[in-house]
Amino acid sequence: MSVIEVKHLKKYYQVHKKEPGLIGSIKSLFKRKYEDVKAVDNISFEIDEGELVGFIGPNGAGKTTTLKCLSGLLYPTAGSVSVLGYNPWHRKYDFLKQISLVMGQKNQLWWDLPAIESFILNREIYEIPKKQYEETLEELTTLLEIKDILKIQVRKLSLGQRMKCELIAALLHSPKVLFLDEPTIGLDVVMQKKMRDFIKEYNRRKKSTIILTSHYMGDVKELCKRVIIIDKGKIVFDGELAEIVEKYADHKILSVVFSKEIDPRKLEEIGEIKEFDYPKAVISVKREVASVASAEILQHFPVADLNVEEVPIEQIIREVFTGKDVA
Amino acid sequence: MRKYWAIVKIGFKNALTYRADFFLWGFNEFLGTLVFLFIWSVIFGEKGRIGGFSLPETITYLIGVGLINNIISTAASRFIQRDVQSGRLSNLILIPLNYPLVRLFLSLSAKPVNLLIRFFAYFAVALFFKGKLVVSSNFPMILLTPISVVFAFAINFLVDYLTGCISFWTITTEGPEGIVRTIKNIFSGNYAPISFFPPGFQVIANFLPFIYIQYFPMLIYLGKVSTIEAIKGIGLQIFWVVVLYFLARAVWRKGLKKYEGVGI
Repeated sequence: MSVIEVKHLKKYYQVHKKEPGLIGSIKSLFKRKYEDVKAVDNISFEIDEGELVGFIGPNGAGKTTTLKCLSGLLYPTAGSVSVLGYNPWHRKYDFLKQISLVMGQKNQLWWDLPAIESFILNREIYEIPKKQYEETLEELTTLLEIKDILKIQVRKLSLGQRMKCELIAALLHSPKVLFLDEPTIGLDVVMQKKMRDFIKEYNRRKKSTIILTSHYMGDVKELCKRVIIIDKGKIVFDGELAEIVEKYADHKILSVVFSKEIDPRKLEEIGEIKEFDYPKAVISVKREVASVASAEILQHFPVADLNVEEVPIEQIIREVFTGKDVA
Repeated sequence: MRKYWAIVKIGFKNALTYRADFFLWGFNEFLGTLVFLFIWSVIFGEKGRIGGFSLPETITYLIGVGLINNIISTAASRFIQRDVQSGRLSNLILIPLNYPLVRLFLSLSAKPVNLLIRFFAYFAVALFFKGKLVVSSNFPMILLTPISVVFAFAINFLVDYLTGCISFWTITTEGPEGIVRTIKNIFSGNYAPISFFPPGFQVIANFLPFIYIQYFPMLIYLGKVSTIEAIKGIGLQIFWVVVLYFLARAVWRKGLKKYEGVGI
């Protein structure tokens, strides 16, 4: 059964356009031109219980706007949204107690107090039984390794420590649906890894439904089986991550290291040369002829090393966005 | 209710983080009020009465409205504006609590410490005017004054709340908020009793809710209205609470639809 159902969701923002310069500023005092920005433009999708779905797209694609509509923060311009059978906009307490929205740039912790105070507050607000609260807190602080900083004023914590505390505050009530917006933003690689492991583990243990947005393909690659790619407010792809490669990457990459100088013009007969910097060359060939092409290279050129690779997922997605043909 | 008690507790702890601030603001108010009262004493000079008020009545009045102001002020408009601008509102409307009540309880939570220090400030001011103060001994009035202050609190909170809601439409509310605050301060009698103003002005004041925030409770205390008039006035306070409540509810709902959750 699907936990999240989105049908023809639209969210338009009205923005006023100002001409540049001082004259423009003065003009805009008296007369303003308003324009609709289609942040989310007619999208539909369904998500089942326990799924961990990656929402990817460039800046301003509409990812965060969609999450805000799903959590009940924004009133949709058109279309319908249903989460756990509720209309999020009504923000019924029973609904709010089962979801959580974590945003990398949003803080719900009390800055001037230690994080533990915010946790206690959430225990009361969400009416979490004391025993369950203590167990969850113990579990989360152990997983995220932050037991020692709970009594320090939040404003004195590092960004990474604060993000972890934010995450705990958002998870104390064991939400069934979790919206994570850029959960690894600003974290170093070690911390990113830990955060990913944690999210994966959390999804596995609690069977909670998670939607995650990120600019980092690493997050998505490691966590999500299914991805929804959104660009300019529209869904461009919805399916398994592996399908993207099949659907968009009809080429493979041959990277070769030569043992002697060769004539690059001869290489062109094999495929499209993406890079040539002796002794290395990168050649793009059609998927179906990849093995033939590599055999030919081995036969006709002095080869020290040869690798056949898939086009990196980052590149595929980048090119889906720019509308170009994929390598 | 337990949930809101938790809000009060955390607000109280938060307020205690910056203790020094309370003392500084208290001292600030002491100094400001004192100078203000000295100026009024000079203005009165040889005159016996202004607008039906004697000098002791005026001084008592001004200390009184200052105290009432501290009891009823909520800073709700400033906080709502900040919540909307910073996107913090997103956090507060996604928890299973009623946002207006959260704001109300948060502003109440800082009050005990704040009020204690302000009371000392006004007590210190009063010491300078010993023997020039009116001590009410009219029993029904002593009883009715705090009742009218309770409703004054409600009116003031709702006005602040409505002012804060402007930020849904204008993003910055300093301009509109400044205007509302000035109008409120004038028409509530915060600077001087309404009877000091020209007649036309007084007529307008009677049609606005602001007069019931400070002026009216002090009229009761000073015995400038009869018991019947005082009870009637409290009735009008209730009328304004109801009107403003429904207005605030409608505006809040409309505003939320405009909310874009910026900054997060």
